[in-house]
Parts: sequence; structure tokens; C-alpha cells
Amino acid sequence: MTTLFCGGGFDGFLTAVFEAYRRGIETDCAIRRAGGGAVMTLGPSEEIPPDPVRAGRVERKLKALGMVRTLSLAWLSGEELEDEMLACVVRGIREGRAPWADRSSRPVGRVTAAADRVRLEAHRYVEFLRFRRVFGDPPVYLSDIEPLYDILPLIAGHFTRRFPSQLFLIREQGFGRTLVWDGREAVISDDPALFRLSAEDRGDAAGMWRAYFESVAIPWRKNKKLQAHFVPLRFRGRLTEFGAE
Amino acid sequence: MTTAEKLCILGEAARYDASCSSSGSGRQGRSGGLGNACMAGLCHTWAEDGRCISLLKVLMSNDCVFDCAYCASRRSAETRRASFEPRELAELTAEFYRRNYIEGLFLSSAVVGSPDRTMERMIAVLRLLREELGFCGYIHLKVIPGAGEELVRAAGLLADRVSVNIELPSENGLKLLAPQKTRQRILTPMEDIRWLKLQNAEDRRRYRGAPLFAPAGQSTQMIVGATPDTDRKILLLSAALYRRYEMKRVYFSAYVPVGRHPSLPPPDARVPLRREHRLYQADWLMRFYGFTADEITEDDDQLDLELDPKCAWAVRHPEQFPVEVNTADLATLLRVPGVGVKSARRILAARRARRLDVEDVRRLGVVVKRAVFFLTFGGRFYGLKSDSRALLRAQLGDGPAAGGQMTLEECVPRISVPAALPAVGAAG
Repeated sequence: MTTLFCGGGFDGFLTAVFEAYRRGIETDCAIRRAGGGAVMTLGPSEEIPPDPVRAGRVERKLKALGMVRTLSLAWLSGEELEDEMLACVVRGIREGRAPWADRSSRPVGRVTAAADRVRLEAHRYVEFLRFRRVFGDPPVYLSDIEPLYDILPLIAGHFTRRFPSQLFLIREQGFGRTLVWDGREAVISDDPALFRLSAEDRGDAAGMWRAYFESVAIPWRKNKKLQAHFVPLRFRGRLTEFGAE
Repeated sequence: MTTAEKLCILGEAARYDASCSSSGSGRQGRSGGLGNACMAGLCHTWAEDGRCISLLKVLMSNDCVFDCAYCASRRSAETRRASFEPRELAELTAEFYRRNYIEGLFLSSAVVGSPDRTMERMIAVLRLLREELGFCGYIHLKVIPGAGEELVRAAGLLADRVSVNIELPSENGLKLLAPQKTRQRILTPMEDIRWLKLQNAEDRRRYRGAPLFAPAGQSTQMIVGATPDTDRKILLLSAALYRRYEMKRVYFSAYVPVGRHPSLPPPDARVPLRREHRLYQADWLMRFYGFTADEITEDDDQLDLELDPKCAWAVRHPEQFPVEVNTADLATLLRVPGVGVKSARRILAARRARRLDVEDVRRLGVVVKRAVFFLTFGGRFYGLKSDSRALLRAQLGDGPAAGGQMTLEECVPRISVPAALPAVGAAG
């Protein structure tokens, strides 16, 4: 069995898929991420450099089948799912439709579950991201997040549409990236200087929000287990209502 | 009094309003404006009682002229009174929204002076938000029973959802506990809203640019356990409200003893939380699973507190089960305990590719430890050999109904299932 090593992110995976089809080995090859640690191969192996043109052709085909979104989310999960993703691509192309409804199939189940995890993480940050008004006139709002996956591109659209005239930065700790929105254009920057900006809220909204949060709970219905189910502890350090500034 | 103090008083007074939904409206943001609304809604946090906080839920004022016995803000209650100024509340909402604390505003109020005067003050907040601050986030407005149609119209054109609380399931209950409210004063604005929505749909067919009237529809809420009304009566009333007034939701609120009245449960009475939970489950069955209120309460006027209503129905109807997972139609699958709407649809899609067994069905999201008593898998049945209802109830039950808080397992879908199940025979 041939092993194809792909680099350069999701485009690299799509290029490897193209290469597998070009050689006619799509059902008899393995795809692995280049630089993803030691991999034992049982047959020949080859590194496939990312090629935007070839990747684009595969992407167009998969888009027509409604498969790109789920595959790209599964890729973002960082899990070793390349074989399952390839199996889904082969099945989708063979059947002429996305196989996502058949979650009882093992490859489909694993790929959709991974995509769901990334989607859930992005959704949680749409809910749990908190801005602080930090400086400037007009004011600039700042937020720090610590996601498990690189979800900044997934949530950028939500916040730029929601706050079209509000200047804001969202700093993704761990990945070292910052989404900067200046009211016209959203840019994802790697500039470490953005992480040195002050983060204290200039206003009394945070204190009022904390007091409100305490007041709306009905004491007779206290159910901290249910609260913990919906607001896992790892998010609370950055939530204003749980004491974060 | 500072805004922070008012917020605490009026937030606390609003906490018995059950609805905090922000779904049903896809209001787009606009250039230079603030916010938008998501069709599916968003929750931003969960309070200590496990209820989600999506909207800033507050009263405009708790200085009420009415004296409803079940209400924490009633005229005779010894509580601190406060009122927001319209601008103060509008600016507070915008400040919270900009920090992504909330999806929008849920505004209710005690009756200050008269229903019309109260509504005018509430509408003033909405006008400031929509017209001055360019706010396009979600707004839910409680209509005050007795308010005029013009005010209801103005409210619906500014809010995403409007609602009128039905309060109690029976007119007798209202007479006894809320003598200043009548069923007619509550139903009239509901009818106004239904009619105005119909008119709005017609207007929008003719003129595409006509403003939307309450795009997320109307909802209502009733208190459970303050009067001796039965679950059957509550469910039949809910069904009628969905049918007649095209409600999006009917909310149930377990009565928390906040007042003393000879007709109310004593102050140390247990809050009927499990009953409230069962009513929500029954409501879900009526809205999404094709059950009727009569079917759910066919044997007893009260819902079974130990079994969820779907399991209770299945246990009462052994002649309907087991059904074959590989051939049953959608309506039949939806009646199987452990099978939800999503998993039923997944079963239909997956069995186009293969015949399904227990493991396949588990991967599709079915709660196998319940469904296994009602399904066959390629003719194989893994449920109970015995026909004993008591044994089946014991397998499916939630345990004795203490009436206290729900356990986590009762509040969220069950996910733990046995790893492997031995077949006990063949059927079908």
C-alpha cells in the first residue's frame, strides 16, 4: 500500500486526494500529514507538495457533492482521520452524494463526529466569548479565547456581521493569532505585539453583569451539575459572570 | 437608586418568567448598526439553577397596581420597588450586547398605573434601541393584558417576539388568585397578535419592504401547581393555544411559593419541578412527535411522574411493539422510546445503505437502553422476555418522584448505554 504524505493544511490533503485518483490508487493508499510524527509504512511512500490548482479541482468536485465543509472541519480537529476522510471522499464520488447521513458507517461516523466537535467548539466560543472595552475613542473591544482547535476563521464572520461598527480584537491564546476588525476588513494576524495590549474593562458593565447573573437564578431550583454540563469549567476562567475581568 | 441596584431588583423580579429563547428571528444587522439575530437563537451562559441566559430578562418596573396572589411583585408584597427609565435600560442593553453577554432584551413589567401607560413606557425602550442605537438584536416583549390594539401593533413592529401570559390554566383560578385579570383581557391581545401577524403576512405578499410584525411569533406561559388544575387540562389548553393562536411555545413554570393565600399551596410546599419537566416532555411530544393531548393522558388526568410520557404511552400500548427498525416508517419510529426526531431521520437515511443492527443504531444516536425494549433488529429482539408491565416500568423509570430538583440525567439526553446486549429470542 502506498502512503502519501501531504503538507500545507487542508489544501495539501486535497492535493493528495487528487494524486491518489490520478494514479488510480484511491482505494489502496494511505494519506498522512507530513511532519505529523513517526509513521510506520508497509509499502512505498511519497511526499506530495500542496498544489492549489489540483486542490481547487478536488474542492470544486467535493463542493458540488456538499462535502467540503465537513471534511475541512474534520481536518481542523487535528485527529488522524486521513484514511477515514479518503474513504468518505471515495464513497461520495462513487455514489454521487455526500455520505454524511449514514453515520452507522465507521469512517462516516468518525469524520462527522470530529467535524461536530470542531463545530461545537466554534459554537461555544460564539456563546462564551466576552469582550472588554479597553481603550480608545471610538472604543476598542478585546477578547481572549483558548480554544482546543483553531476556530478563529470559523467565528470571524459571526462577530464581524454582529458588530459591524465596533472595533474589536479576538486573541486566540495557544495558536498565537489575533482577529482584528477595524470596521471594514477582518484580518487574522500573527503579530505578538497584539498580545501585549492591556485587557482591563473600562466601564462598570462587567460588575453589573456579575450582579445580574447572581440575581436571576432561582434559589429553589439550584442545579449546579446542570450548569456545569452547559458551561464546562475550562471556559469559566474567561467568563465575566464567573469572576473573570 | 443606581442602575446596578435597579438591575438586581428588576432582574430578580423577572426570574419567574420561563422563556429566554432567542430563536425564530433572522433579523439582519445593518451598516453602522449594532447586532443581528440568529434564527436558531444562542444561549450565552447558564445560571446556577441550570437555566440558560440568552436575553437580558428584566422588568421595566415592579411597582404593580395589581395584587395577584401568586406573584412576587404583587401590590401587597413587601419588596423593594424600582423602575427603569427607558433610556437607562436601552443603554444598559446595548452595553451588555457589545460585550457579547446577551442576544438581546426580554422586557416585561408590572402594571404601573394602567396597562396602556405601562406598554407605552416599554415601547419607548424599544424605540430607543431600534431607532436611536440602531439595535438589530433580539427583543422579546411581554404584552400587558388589557393593552390597546394600537400599542400591541407598535410593540410587534419593534419586537421579534411578543407574548401574553395566560397565567393560570383555568378561569376559576384567575378569579380566585388574580381577580383584576380576566381570561378575556388575556385572550384579546393574543387574538390581536394572531390577527396582526396574518395581516402582516398579507402586507408582505403585496409589498416586499413592509416591516415584519413579530417575526418570531408569540408565546405564552402558565403557572403549574398554584391551582388544582390537572395535567390533562393543562395539555388540552396548550394544544388549543397552539391551534387557535398559532403559538410558537407554551411555557410552564412550576409555582414557587412567594405569597400566602388560602387557595395557594403552603409556603413550605415542594416546588413541582418534576411535574413541570413532564409537561415540557409532553408538550414536545405534541409538537414534534405526532402525539395528541388525549393520547398522552388517556388513562389518567395526571402525568406519570416516574416515567416520561413517551415511555408511559409505550408501556400502556404493548400491542404496538416491537417494531422492526429496518422497515418501520417515520411516524412509527417517532413513537419508540429512545428514538428522537434526529435519530429517526438518521435511521431512515442509514438503512438505504445497509440493514441496521444494535451497534449501528447506537452510533446513530438512539438511546439503545430504552429503545431495545421496543425494537427488533433484523427480527432479533433484545428486550424483556416477560410481558410484565411492572418489570418494564422498572427498566425505564426515573425512580421515585421526590418532587425535588431534576438530576442531570433527567435534564439532558442520556448517553450511557450498555456495551453489548444478548439476544433473547426472535420476533416478527
